[in-house]
Amino acid sequence: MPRLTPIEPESAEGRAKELFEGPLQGKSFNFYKGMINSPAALSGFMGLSAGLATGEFTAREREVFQLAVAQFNGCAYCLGLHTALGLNVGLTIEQTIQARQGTVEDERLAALVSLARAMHEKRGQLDDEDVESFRDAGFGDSHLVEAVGHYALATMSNYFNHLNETVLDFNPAPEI
Amino acid sequence: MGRLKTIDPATAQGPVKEIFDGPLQGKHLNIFKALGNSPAALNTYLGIAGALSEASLNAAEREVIQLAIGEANGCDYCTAAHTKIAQGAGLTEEQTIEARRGSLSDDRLNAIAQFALAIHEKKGFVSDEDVNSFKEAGFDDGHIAEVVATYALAVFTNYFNHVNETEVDFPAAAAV
Repeated sequence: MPRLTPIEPESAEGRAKELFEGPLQGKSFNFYKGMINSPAALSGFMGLSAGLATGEFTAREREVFQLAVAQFNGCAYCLGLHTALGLNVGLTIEQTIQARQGTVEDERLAALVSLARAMHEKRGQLDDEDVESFRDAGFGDSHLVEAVGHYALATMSNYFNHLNETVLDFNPAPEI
Repeated sequence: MGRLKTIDPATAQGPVKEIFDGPLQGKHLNIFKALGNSPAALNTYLGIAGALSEASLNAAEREVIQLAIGEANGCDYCTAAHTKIAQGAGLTEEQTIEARRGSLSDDRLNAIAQFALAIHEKKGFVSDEDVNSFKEAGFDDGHIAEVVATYALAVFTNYFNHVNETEVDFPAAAAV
């Protein structure tokens, strides 16, 4: 059982009902059923996610970043979700595992995982070398800004699912 | 000078110019001039901040979270900015200092700070006791979701200002 009372689409009212019938149509995951206890919080999450999707990172890069951070935070729900989403946007199952292990072969993706690790471990206080390595892989200032946004997005979902003890509604990610 | 390029609102073009001339009119702060390197990220930041302005937690309550977490993350830019914003939202200067120390004399505000700090220290893996204490102070499942969302918003700005080494353009917050 999750800690927060799940709100089901059929019994939702007001703003929650609008969200289920609008942007969440066909996506009534347990995570959303928990967070929608506050329509404002869920709207914030959806806006952050959708807004960053219009940024410079590709969908594959975004999923690699989410997988890496979810692994650092030990979020089983998020790993299950982002393994499924990663496969949908063209990552191989092997790449989803490598993103979590920090062993991804593609140099650009590897630089992204390294930045995610530095941002996580140093709580944002990156060293100049961290920034230089990221730029050397071909990323610019816009990517650096958006990486912080993606880290905040991961924090919101990872920590919320920890707190809520959200029941997984995806296949669990492979054990590593 | 920050680490990232600074976008000058006077010479900005396209989507960034629209943001500086629109929602950020009169608020050309150093953090926004750096976030503006990615119009998607800047828009997204304003979007989540806007969504949370419709939260059940009021502005003063959300500022308590920003101050407690800004201090916990050692973000000088954020504690300076939120000391000013919080006073605009009705907190006294003494309460802004209490929030940064993580112990407020007002029971309700103190419960918010304690819960936000538990989320921070336990990376979301809060105990039943943490949740029960928060609820006993009069909060519900919706407020819980909003504390997590506000926490993530704080991580966005705290980490971004660390990454960017943003020059503070508010009066420095009092030492605590």
